[in-house]
Amino acid sequence: MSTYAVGPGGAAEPAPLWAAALRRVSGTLARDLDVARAGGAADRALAEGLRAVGPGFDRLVARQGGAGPAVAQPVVDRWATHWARSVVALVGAGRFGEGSVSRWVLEWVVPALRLDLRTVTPLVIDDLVTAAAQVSGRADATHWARGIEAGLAAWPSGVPLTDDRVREVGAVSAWRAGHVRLRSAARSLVPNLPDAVADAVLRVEPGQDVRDLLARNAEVPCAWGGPVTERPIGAFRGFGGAWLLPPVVTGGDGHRWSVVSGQTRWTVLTDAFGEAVLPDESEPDSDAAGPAPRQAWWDRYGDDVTGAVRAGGVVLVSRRSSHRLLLVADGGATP
Amino acid sequence: MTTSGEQAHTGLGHVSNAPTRPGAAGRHTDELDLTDLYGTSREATPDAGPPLDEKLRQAYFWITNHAIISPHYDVEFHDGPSERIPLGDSRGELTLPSGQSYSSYVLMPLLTFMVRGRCLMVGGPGRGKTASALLMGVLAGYTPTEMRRGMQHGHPQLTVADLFGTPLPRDLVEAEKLSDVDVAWRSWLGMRVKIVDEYNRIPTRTQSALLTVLADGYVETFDQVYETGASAWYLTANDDAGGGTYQVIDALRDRIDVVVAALPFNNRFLSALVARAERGVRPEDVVPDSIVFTEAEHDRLHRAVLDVPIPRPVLRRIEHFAGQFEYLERAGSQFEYRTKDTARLAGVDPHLVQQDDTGRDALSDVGTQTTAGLSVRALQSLVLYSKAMALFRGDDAVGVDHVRAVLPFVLFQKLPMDTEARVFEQDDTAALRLDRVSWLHAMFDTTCRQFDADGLDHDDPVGDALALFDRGLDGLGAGEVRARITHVGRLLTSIAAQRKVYGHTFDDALTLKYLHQRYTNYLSWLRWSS
Repeated sequence: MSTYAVGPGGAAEPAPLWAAALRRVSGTLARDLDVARAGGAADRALAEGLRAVGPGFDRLVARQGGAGPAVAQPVVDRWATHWARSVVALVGAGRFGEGSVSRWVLEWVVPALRLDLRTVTPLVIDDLVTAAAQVSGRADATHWARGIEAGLAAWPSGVPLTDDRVREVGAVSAWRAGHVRLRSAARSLVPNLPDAVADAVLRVEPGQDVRDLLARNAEVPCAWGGPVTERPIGAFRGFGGAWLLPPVVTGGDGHRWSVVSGQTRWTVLTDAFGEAVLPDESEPDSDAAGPAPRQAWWDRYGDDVTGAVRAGGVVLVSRRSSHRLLLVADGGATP
Repeated sequence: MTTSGEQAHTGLGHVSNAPTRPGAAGRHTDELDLTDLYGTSREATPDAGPPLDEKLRQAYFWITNHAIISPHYDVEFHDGPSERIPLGDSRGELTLPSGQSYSSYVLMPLLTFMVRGRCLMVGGPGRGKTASALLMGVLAGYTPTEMRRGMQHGHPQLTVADLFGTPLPRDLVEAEKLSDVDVAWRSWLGMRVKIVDEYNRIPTRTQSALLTVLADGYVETFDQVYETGASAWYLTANDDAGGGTYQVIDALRDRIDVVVAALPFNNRFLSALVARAERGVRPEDVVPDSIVFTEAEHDRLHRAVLDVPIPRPVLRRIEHFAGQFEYLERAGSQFEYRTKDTARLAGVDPHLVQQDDTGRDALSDVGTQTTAGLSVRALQSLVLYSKAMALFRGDDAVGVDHVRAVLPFVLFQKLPMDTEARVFEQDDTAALRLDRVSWLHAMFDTTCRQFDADGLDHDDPVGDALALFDRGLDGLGAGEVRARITHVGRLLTSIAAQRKVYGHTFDDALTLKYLHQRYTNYLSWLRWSS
C-alpha cells in the first residue's frame, strides 16, 4: 500500500466536482446519515470521511472525457450518491479509520482505475472494498490494486467494460498478487480477458505468451516464466505461522500438499505467486499413508529431513529442526 | 472485517459481512471463487443474497447489538467442554459456553417469526417487550408506522368490534339478512406479524373472540368470515401470573407456543442506554434493508423449517421425556385411566393422589414434579421450535441440543409444576420452584441421563416391535402373527417384572396393548377370510 500512501494533507485538496455533486444528492443521503449517527458515528468523522474521498472522486470524473463533459450529470450524481453512501456506511461500521483498507480503496484504488462511469455501475466500489479486505493479509494488496489498474488501463476501447469484467480482472489480479486460493477461479477467467489485459494483470514479460505461461504453470504450478525460486513456507505459531510443532510433509501434487503437525492435519497450497496454510478439516482417510520412511535421496536436503515429496517440478521438504517447510526446484534426484 | 457482528459500538446500519456462524453449513474447501472474493454473487437469481439461516443470524446479531440491549447468553450451546465457575455462598454455577449462545429474549421472538407461531413476552414495564415485537414486524417488511397502527393495545373496554372491525352502518339499516351486512375489517388482521400488547387486560369475551383468530386464523362476525392467513403473533403482558385486569382464559393461554421473560437490564450497559437517548433515533426506524424478509422469503423460511428432519434417536428422546408426566398410579383402576387427567376431571388435585403413591423415587422420577402431562399441542410446538432452532444455527437436522434449548420456553406454561412435590424440599432444588427454565432443563437432563443409563438408544424392544408392525401386515401368515402376539406378551411380562411403573413404561405398556389388539384383529380377519 505504500506506493499509494500520501500524507493527511491530501484530504485538504479541493474537490469541486465532489462538492457540487454532494450538494445535489444530499437529500438522498439523509437516512444513511441518520443510521450512521444512530449507531454512534460522530458528525466529525462522517464529515472528515466525506471530505477525504473528494479529491479521488474528482480525479475519476475529470478523467472521463478529456476536454468535454463526457458523462452526464445524472451519472455523476449516481456515482456520488453511492460513493458517499459507502463512506457513510463504512464510517458507521468503524471501518474507515486512517490507514484502513476500506479507506485506501475509496481514496486511492478506485480513483486510479480507468473506469467508464457510463458502462460500469457504482456497485464496483462495494466489490473492491470487500475484495480488498479479502486480499489484505493473504496477498500483496498493493500489487493487487496495481494489477487492476494496469488491466483496466489496457482495456481495449472497442470492448465494453462492465461490472463483471472488473470483478474478473480483480480476481485474476488477486491471484497474481499471491492469493493462491483463487488459483483455479483466476486461471479459468484469464481466457475470457482480452490478451492485452491478461498480459498487463499477470505482468507478462515482452516476448512471452500468456497461454504458454498458463500451460507451463499448469504442469509446474510453482513456476511462472522462469525457474522455480527456492522459498520457505509456513512458520511457528509464535511467529505468526500456523504450526505449534515442526510440520512433516506426507504427500502432494505440486500445488496441494498434505502436512501433519503433531496430531493436526494441514493442507498447504503453493504456486508461483503465493502459498497458504490451511487446516485440513476433511474426514481422515483411513487408507492414507503416514509420513514415509526415510529415503536416501532426502539427504541432499539435510540430515534431519522428516519428509520430502516430489511433484509438479518441485520438492517440498520438512525438517526436524524447523517449523518452516522448504520449497525447492526438483533437481531430478532419483526417488 | 467483522467476525460475528458482536461489536457493541459499530453503526446501526452495519450488518456483519462475515459468516455469523462459520462452518455452520457446507464443507471446508481450500478453493475460493468470485463469490468468496466479493462477498456476493451478481447473478440475478431468486436465491441471491445470503442463505436464510445466515440472514436470520444477521438479524439476531443486529437486534442484540443495536436494538435491544440484551447482553445475555442464557440459551447455551456447547462445542466441547465449557468452563463452569461456582459463585457465591450457594455455589451457583456460571457457565461460559464453548459454543455460540444466544439471548432467549431475542431468539424466541425470532424463532416465532420463522415458524409463524405465537409468542408471549412477559416482564415488567420498560423492558422492551413492545419494542421487540415491533422489530419483528419491521423484519417482515412493515414500516414502524404500519406496525404501530396495527398493534392492538389491551384495555378493559376493548370490544370485539374494536378488535376486528365494525359493520357498515348503511348495511345495518338496509340489509334484509345478516349476510348482507358488510364488515369494515381492521387492517391489522391481514398483517403477517400481529402484536397484541398487554393481552391480559382484554375483557374475557373479547379474549374468546381473539382465540378464534389466534388459533384458527379466521374471524367471524355478522355472518362474515375473514381469513387472516398464517402469521407470527406477539403478545405481551406485564405479569402473566394473574396480575392483569382479567384472568387469561385457559384456551388462549394454551394456544401460545412459547413464553419468554424479559431479563433484567445489566446496569453495566447504562452508557449504551444514555448514548441511545442522546442520539434520539429509534432502532425500528433504521433496520437495515438487508435483514428484512420479503413475503416470499418468509414463506420460504417457514417451509425450510418444516423440512428440517428430526432423526429417530432425537425423536425417541423427546418421546421418552414427554412420556414421564401423565402417569398417576392411584388415579384409576383400569390401566388406561391411571393418569393425572383422570384426577383433574374428577376435581381432585393430582398432587394429593400422588402423595399416596409411595412406590416411586420422588427424586429421580420427574413425573412427580408436575400436576399434568403434556398436550399434543405442546409437543407440536416443541418439535416445530426445535426445527427452527436447528435451521437458525445452520444445522442439517434437529439435535438433542436444539430440543434442550427451546424446551423450557415452549413448556413454560404448558407443564404445571407441582410446587409441593417432595423433590423441591431439598436445599439444592428449592430454587427450581421459582426458576421454571432451570427446572425444565433439569427435568430434561434427568430423563436424558436415564435414557442413556437404560441404553434405550440401542436397546428399545418396544420401539423395535412398533417398527416391525409399521412395516405393514400385508402377506403376513397366521403363524407369524401368533409369534408376534407372543412376543408382545413377553415384552409386557418383562415390564411387569420391573415392578415399578414409570411414565414412559406406562406409554410402553399401552403401546404393546395397541400392538396386541392390532395383531389380534388381523388374526381374526385372517381366520374369517380363509
